[in-house]
Amino acid sequence: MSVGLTEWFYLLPLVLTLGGALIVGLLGKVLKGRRGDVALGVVTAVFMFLALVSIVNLYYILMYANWSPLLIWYWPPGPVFDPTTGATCINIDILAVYMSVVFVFLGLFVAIYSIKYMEHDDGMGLFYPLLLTLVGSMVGVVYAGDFLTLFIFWESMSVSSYALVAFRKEETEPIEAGLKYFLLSAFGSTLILFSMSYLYGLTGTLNLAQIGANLALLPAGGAWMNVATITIMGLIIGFGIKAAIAPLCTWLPDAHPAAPSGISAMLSGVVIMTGSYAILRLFGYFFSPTVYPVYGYILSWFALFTMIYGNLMALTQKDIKRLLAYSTITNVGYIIFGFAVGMMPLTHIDPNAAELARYLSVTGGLFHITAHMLSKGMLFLCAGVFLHEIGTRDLDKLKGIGRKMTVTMVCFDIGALSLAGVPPLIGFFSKFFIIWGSIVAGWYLAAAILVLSSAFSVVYYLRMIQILVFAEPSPEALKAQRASPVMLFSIVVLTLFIVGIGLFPEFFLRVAELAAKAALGLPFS
Amino acid sequence: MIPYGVPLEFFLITAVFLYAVGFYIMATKRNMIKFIIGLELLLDGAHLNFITFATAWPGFVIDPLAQSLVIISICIGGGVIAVGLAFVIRAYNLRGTLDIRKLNELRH
Repeated sequence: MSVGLTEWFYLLPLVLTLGGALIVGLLGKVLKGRRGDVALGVVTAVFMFLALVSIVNLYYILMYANWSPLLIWYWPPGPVFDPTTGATCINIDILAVYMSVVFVFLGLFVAIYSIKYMEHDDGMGLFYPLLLTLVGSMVGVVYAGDFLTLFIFWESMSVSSYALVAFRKEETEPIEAGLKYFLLSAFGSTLILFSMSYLYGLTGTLNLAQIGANLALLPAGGAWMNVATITIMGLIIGFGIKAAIAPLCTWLPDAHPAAPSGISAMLSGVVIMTGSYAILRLFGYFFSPTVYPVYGYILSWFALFTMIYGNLMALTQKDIKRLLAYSTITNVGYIIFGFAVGMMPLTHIDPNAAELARYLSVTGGLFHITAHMLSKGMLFLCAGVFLHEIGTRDLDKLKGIGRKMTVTMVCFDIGALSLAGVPPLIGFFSKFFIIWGSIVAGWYLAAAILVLSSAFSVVYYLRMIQILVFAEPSPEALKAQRASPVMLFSIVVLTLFIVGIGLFPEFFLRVAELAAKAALGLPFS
Repeated sequence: MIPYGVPLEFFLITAVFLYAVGFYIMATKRNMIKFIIGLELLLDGAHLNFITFATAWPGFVIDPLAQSLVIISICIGGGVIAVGLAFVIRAYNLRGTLDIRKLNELRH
């Protein structure tokens, strides 16, 4: 179908965020001063909210379409197309809707939070358009049905995130961190492009689903398998840089603390998840586990290494945002592990059990994306409140600040406990599903490592809580005032979702399960 | 299929060579401007690959989609490089050096 009125309706999340970026950018030329900045923030939040509503609307449209994906072919134009010559399309399925809800949801609260947090910064007429572009491009990445669309949105997401990391360009730290992030991430993008060119050469199309279909037609065991191997490696490394898999994650602990706290929350909560998403989606489309049996295992060992690395590095950190950044690496390990089990052939167990193991662990991985978005996003916003109040990220100077800022601290504790996996909170369920999946897959060693890593992470979460609440307050901490209600609003709402979804996870688990089935190509029952 | 008398492999090997040179520059050089040049070479290797494969169709058909991708990607690459150069200028103004290894304030 070509782009008519109905299709523009489906594309509303993209139009509202990217068009909103244009409108806010133009408004930024007119509205000046502190009042202008507040107005821009409010307009941004309104656009985010409308985009969120339109995505929820898409969920219901998909539900009445029996979860069959909405395809919008936009080039070559017209109803007649030949997919084998590479038609470009937008592919909105339940996985795309699930991911885009996560992106826009955090974007909304970061926009609200930034109204107060960025009050002393100049150039807010650029900040909000960049934030909207970031969110819109991420939505585009998950909606992409072909490589051209994916690449355009991927690069637009990357460029806006470079600019946002180095937003405070008068300071040295953001520039250095941004440069490091830029060099690694741009290298990753070229690697993705290079690998994709080989896939294009093998199959003659850029359409993701069509590439998978054409690859399946090639004779098994031919010389092209070597090219495919190089391609898979390139794609894993390229997307792995963005997803922060362990040997490739050196940019993350620099870039996340250096960015403004709202942007740290965006980067840590959602931007790196596009890398994990791309790995899951491409493997679901291209590389079936029966033809490529080893990559699931390789990726899962990398995931286990990522977890251990993040945990060990987080233990010794003195900077609160750096500690949170390392704990992000650990959580990426859980998510990638969940996805990796979904890519395993699992021939040594019963086929039904193998299918169950695959979709349980992918469900867990997807649900952990939500859990991590809510918890880690909220933790970064809390760290930003401390930074805003007393101007330091040093844990020694933040001692006992929780006694002066009660509400923030209660939320901080809930977020930390959720990531540590304490039962009634959301983080427990997601980890539980990943571990359950690996047990069903018969891989008890990995399950044991997951449980141990989770238990190990409790150490530094509790250390953080101990320092912030129970230690004798430092002179800096005594100067802290209550946080402003604007910033508290975002934090409290995210906390309510952590507790609420933790108490009533059925609906969200059901959607994550549907998304996992869409990713693995299993029938919806 | 040999378009215009030059074998396809020639272009593919050139593309790999370009990519390897770019990778070598990014792995060994210390000057940030050279990093950016390396990045540009990496992009060019990938572009050449796409253009080559776009011509490798039966009957001298050239796939317009891959060529559109390359044109769009050149534009995007220009934007990316511009952001990178902006970073380099800021870093030079703040630290007075183009040496990437002197940017070590972040190592705790």
